Amino acid sequence: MANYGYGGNNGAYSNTSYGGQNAAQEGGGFMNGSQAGSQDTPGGSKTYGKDTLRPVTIKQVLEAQQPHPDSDFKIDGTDVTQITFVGQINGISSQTTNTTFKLDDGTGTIEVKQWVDSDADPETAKALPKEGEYLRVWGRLKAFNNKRHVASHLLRPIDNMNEISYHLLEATAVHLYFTRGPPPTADGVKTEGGNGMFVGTDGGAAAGGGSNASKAMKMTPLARKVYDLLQSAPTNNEGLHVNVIATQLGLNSNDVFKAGDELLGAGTIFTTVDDETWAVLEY
Amino acid sequence: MAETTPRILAPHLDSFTNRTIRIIGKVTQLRGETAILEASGPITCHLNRDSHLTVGHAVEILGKVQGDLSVKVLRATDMGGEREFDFAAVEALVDATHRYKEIFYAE
Repeated sequence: MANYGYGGNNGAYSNTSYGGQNAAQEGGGFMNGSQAGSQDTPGGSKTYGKDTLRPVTIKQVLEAQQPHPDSDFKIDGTDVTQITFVGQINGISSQTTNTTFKLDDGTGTIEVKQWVDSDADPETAKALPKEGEYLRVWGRLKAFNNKRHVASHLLRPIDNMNEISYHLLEATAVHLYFTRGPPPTADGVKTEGGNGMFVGTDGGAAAGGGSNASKAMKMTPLARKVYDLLQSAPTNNEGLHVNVIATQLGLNSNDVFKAGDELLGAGTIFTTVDDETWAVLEY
Repeated sequence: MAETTPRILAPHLDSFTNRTIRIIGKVTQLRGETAILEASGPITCHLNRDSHLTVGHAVEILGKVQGDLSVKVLRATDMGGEREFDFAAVEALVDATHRYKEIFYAE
């Protein structure tokens, strides 16, 4: 029991601090007020206001981390609440209360449970999907007796097969967003992938813009944000002061210093009028 | 996980012998027990009784790569006519599968 309480507290604590950071990373859609509010009322809806719907592969679902029993799962270090994925039906078992589908998307297999709505009018009930069909699922990841399954809110058969390619590419894009930060430009996904192969080579300087993009690849998401701001900010040669960066990005200056150290170390920015004012090193 | 079935195209066949894989390609020829697919190169598939392929359609083959780089079909799923199916998206997907394999399959 004591253990349970501890785990719960811990979960709430790390969620709030982490969630706050997260919101800032994503450009700050969420109000701090709602975060604080959920901290005041532990239990209940602790994930309220930071629910996300993330496209994933089944392999990611099977490998998702769960820091404590009962806490939210994490994929690529980020909390996941709702997930969506596609999969081919490998088996169906109908019980009175639910239907369990075994879904395989080529990256793994997981069970998806759809609860039977006993109030539904049997006249309008849709035909059960058949084995071999592809489904699109929206749901929540659950662990029960050390076995993972997805409780589905909604599922539907896929009738345009391009959705499978689309979904798996979207899951890749989101995975890369969380592991490498946002793409440096609008067409960044492509550029980044292309340069990825040449990171180790020495010819970077020869290809002006390209070398910058491949440098950007190695940055942490935080450093990338600072770098992008410095690059896009209309400034003179002096660059921007740490406090200005912190205000504009809504970060605390400690984080900005950390990002700055990384960028200074990599030689992508340099100090101008004093140690705390930086500009992008262009060559 | 032994249950992963990575998506591949013809050029990947020789690195996936004796493995269960998925291939998405266009059916170009049907010859009774075998079919020829076009998936960035020709692939010979040995069909099972349940596979219903249509020439000109996209198909997803779940199958095992044989020593001679043909594929023994375990399950075939029709993916629609070639006009409504985007083969370029599949090529991008296969590229992503092998480039970012951490979310797709284990070696």
